[in-house]
Amino acid sequence: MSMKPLQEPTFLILTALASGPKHGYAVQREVELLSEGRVTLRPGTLYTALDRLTDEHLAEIDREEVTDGRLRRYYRITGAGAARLADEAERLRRNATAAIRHLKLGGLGA
Amino acid sequence: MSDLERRYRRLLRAYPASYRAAREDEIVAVLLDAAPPEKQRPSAADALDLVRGGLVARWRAGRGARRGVRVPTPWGDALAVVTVVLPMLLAARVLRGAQMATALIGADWNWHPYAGQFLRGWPGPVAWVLAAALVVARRPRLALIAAAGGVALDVTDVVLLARDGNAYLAQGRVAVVLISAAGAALLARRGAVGRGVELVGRMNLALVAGGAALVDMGLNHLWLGRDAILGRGLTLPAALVLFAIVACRRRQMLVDPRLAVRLAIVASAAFAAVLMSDAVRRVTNLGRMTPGSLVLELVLCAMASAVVLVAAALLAAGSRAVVRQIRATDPEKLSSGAP
Repeated sequence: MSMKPLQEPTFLILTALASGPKHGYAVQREVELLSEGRVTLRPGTLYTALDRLTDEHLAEIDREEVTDGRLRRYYRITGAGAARLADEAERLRRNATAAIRHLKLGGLGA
Repeated sequence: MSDLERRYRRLLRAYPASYRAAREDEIVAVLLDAAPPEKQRPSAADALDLVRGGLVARWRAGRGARRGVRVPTPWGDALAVVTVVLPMLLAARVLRGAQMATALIGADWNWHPYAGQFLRGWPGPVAWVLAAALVVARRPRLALIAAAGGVALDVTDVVLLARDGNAYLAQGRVAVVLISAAGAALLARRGAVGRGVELVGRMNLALVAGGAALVDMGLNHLWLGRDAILGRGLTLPAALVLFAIVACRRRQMLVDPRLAVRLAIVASAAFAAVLMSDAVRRVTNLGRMTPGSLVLELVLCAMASAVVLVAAALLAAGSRAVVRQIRATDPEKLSSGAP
């Protein structure tokens, strides 16, 4: 797959999955927490993104459970997905560090 | 089932049936988990989100994840096949230029005023040859760039023809330009090229390209020797028949009869559109044709339509037979979608 930067919702979904397999609602809640309420993933957009991630083999199904008559399908990140997420996180970290340093140099730093 | 759940399930009908069979319960569970207890109706944002998700799911050309939810997408797959075959057909025109050039060398200078106009139409197909090669090489982004170039060149050709006052030829090329534009637009769909090449096979694509080029040259040769203009629309159905034969070599495609049927529908619709634009051109130029040549053209087009419809019916029927056979001997091969 190309090394184009990940879109924010995709990045957040992979982050949510990186700490352990989750089902759809758990991913939705985790993404909302991570983005401090900024990114609300409705199921339509969530599953479009999950479909794309599973197509690109960055995520896969972990298991299925039925609780209270509701079907819950758990997803987990693949090795390739974890590597992609790590690369992307490193890229963002380097950009952020550079930005903070340059702000300091310009006397505008926080 | 609560009222809210029933309303959500109704909204989910935006998704294709095969997707719903795999996912509906899961998505409903997420919707109900997220809904506050007093919620009775889906909000406008919910509805918009689900309808948009349904449309995306319908047109997706998914490749079927290894351990994901394997959801067959018959329309998506059919479009993916068209996405990869169309550049082959559009590239097949490229040999016409060479043919015209060799015809001119025979010093038949009566052709001269027309030859320039036909040769000017040559750069478009060359760009499409590049696009076709990139499709086979599975480089969709580069193929899209080449295809966009091809469309621009084809449009320029038509505009120049019309400006020179050659309305008849220009009208005939409009259908080609529309197909060209459709071909480029289809290449922009994510995953379509990969899925299409996976379904059709590189060898088969090369066969289609070569076969279509030969058919095109054959028809062009006939044109060069006659007064009547055999509708160029015949190239497309001839190529489709060729493709139907070639597709039968590929059992993977036939395992899903829904795909074959949808493919037949898309191909027939495309052919009908080409025929109609050809018919419009003839009707607006009735004065220039002899009754004999007009009748000949209409008969030929009726025959071509019949051949395409028969080929489509055979493809659909043949695929059903293959599925029945597989079901009888080795049912496990019938997973939902291609392996």
